[in-house]
Amino acid sequence: MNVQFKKGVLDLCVLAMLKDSDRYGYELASTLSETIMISDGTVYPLLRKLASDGLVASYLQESQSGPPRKYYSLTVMGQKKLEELLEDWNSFTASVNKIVGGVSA
Amino acid sequence: MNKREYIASLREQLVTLPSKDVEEILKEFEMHFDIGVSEGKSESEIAAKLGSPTEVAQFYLGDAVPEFDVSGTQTVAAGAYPIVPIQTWLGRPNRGVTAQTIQGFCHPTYAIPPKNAAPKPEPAGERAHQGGRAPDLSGERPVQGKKEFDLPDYTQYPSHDPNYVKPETKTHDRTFVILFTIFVAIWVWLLALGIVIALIGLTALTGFLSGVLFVAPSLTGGFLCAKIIFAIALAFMTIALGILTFFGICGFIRGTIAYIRYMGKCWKKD
Repeated sequence: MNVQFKKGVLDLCVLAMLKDSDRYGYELASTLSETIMISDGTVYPLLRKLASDGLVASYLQESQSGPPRKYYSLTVMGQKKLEELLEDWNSFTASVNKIVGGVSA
Repeated sequence: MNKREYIASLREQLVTLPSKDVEEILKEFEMHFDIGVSEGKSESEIAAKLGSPTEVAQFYLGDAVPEFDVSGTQTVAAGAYPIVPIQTWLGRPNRGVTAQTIQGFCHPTYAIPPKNAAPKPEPAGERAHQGGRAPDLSGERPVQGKKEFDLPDYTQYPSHDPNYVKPETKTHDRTFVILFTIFVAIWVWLLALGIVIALIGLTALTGFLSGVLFVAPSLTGGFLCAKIIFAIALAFMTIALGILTFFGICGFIRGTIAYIRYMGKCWKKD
């Protein structure tokens, strides 16, 4: 799969997961690694990249049961980016489906 | 590999990053371990799921892309990836999927610059011709004026451009460092040295006084009880001053070393 494409998909996944609620790194990592089979460790560099681009913000929060957690939330810019990426994703998959859809395996 | 080993190894790999960033990154991984352990996982289990420190470090250092697989086996590959231009990836240009769709979708940051292969501008005429001739499977005509295929746009992220030359980072110039050292740093340093010496002297003095009062309270005669209380007060003062002096000396030495290092850096970079 194309390298850039892959990165774009991961961005989209992370931003989409943050859309409705803030999540902490561990949560994001384990969900992503379960569903799309990436290593947990790759999610943190990605989050850092998104943070440095101003798409997500982070804050530290104590938890009642267990160690403190670093939560990530979507910034206004991140929301815009998510909308953009979603639109692109939808039109992209729609276009591909137009080609692939008619072909049966 | 346990948490300590993992963090240490990651730290080693990230040595080229600014130490502030490294601390932040490691803190996050420590938290990851802590949360995993609190959920009943073993440290080695968590480490295995994280992927090797070398691979993780490469993502931070910017020369790797996560490998993911929706079909099953979990893999993390790092390092060199074949550079697949969008053209080859799609097979042929103009199949109803415009480059706009892909490019917009792909984060420009992730554009990996093709090694020494600057995009060859295609003559507009040829492109239009090709576009007209290629089978249009989607039934949509490409929108006029839209570029069909192109290599990533580096204007927003110039550092990804293969031809990008890193601008010289401007540090303080030598004259500034010399003047600053002569007019400010030396005096501040001397003042700090004076304070440290004064602290040492004061500590010694109070210590000596309280010692004398304890050992020989009756030497000077009279007011025995008051003298003992005074000696105790002096003893406590000595302890407090001693602590203060200790931190003072530590800070002084650290500051001096830091400043010498900073000057060395300026000198080298200049």
